[in-house]
Amino acid sequence: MKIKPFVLLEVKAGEKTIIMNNIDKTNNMLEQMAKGNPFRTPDGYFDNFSVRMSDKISEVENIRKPWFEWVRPQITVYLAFSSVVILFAVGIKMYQANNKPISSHEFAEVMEYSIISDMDDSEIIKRLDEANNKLLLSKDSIAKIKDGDAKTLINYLSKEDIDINAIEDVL
Amino acid sequence: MIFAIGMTDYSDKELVAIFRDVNRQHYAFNMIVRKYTERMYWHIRKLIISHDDTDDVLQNTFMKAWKGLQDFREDAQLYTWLYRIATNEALSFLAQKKRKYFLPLIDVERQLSNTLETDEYFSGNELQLKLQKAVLTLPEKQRVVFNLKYFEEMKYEEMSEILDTSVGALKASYHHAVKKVEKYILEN
Repeated sequence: MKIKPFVLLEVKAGEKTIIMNNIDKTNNMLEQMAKGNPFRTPDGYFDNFSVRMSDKISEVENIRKPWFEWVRPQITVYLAFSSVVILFAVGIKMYQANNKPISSHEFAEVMEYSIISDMDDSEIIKRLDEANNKLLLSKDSIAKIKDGDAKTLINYLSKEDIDINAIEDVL
Repeated sequence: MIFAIGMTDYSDKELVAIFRDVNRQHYAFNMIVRKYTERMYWHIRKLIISHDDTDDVLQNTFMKAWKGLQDFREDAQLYTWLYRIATNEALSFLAQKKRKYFLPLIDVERQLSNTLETDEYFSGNELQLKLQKAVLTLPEKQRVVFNLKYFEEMKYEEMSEILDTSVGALKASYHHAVKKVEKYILEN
């Protein structure tokens, strides 16, 4: 079925404008009307809008960005670099510490501990008594030392296997 | 959907892909704005009527799009997403207006109708004015449906995505809207 064209007739009647038309009211009036856009915009509105929008976004982004956002990239690089340097330094230190030769004193301590840790209590007491006995000097021995007989003294020490340090302690 | 800017044609998907490159975000978004400014403007303008208010709402729409585009889902359509933002912004604007001036719905319609008559950027003839006034008598959501279908000739499926409403409900809504508008025109 052919759609009737929409015809608009305007008849002035005093102050009022009476709109009459010959639309077939049973045949979808709106579909027969022209759909022209009655709205307008200021000149150049659409041409300028994207520029205004870009400016607004930049403005909002600048306001919204806190100070640390501006330095964040630099801080990130700095922290990453520092972390690498620190890790490298710690690694070297640990490597050096692991490869340091042990001193004779430390070795002696470790050995002593390892020997003692293998002994039971009675064994340790026995060893201590023996060591103590070696250090004990008789009155006669002390009198000989005080007399200053060096030869006798050296012979005696060699014979008795006495530690010179123990003598110093006693004197 | 293809849009020509200078020598470069980009689809919506390409524009979104370019936007994902941090160094080209502003460039991509500028192209999106250029591509959709007019469509969004007319969509908002028909709901809000005043040019100045439309300009504000349009800017808000694109600001929201700028902020939300980072999380935009690849499977969604860019232009239906923009329509959804624009529609929400326009309806929020009208709701704010009602709250701000303690206006009942009928007075908002009357105010918009008066704006039409006095708007320097409205150049329609008497019948077009009558049609716009008739549309303003519709409830807001029905007005959106009517505008999208009647003026923009959008498919129901797309409208369904924008308005998050079933196609059946949209068809029914449009049918009722048409009847009301026709009735208004005939009676006035």
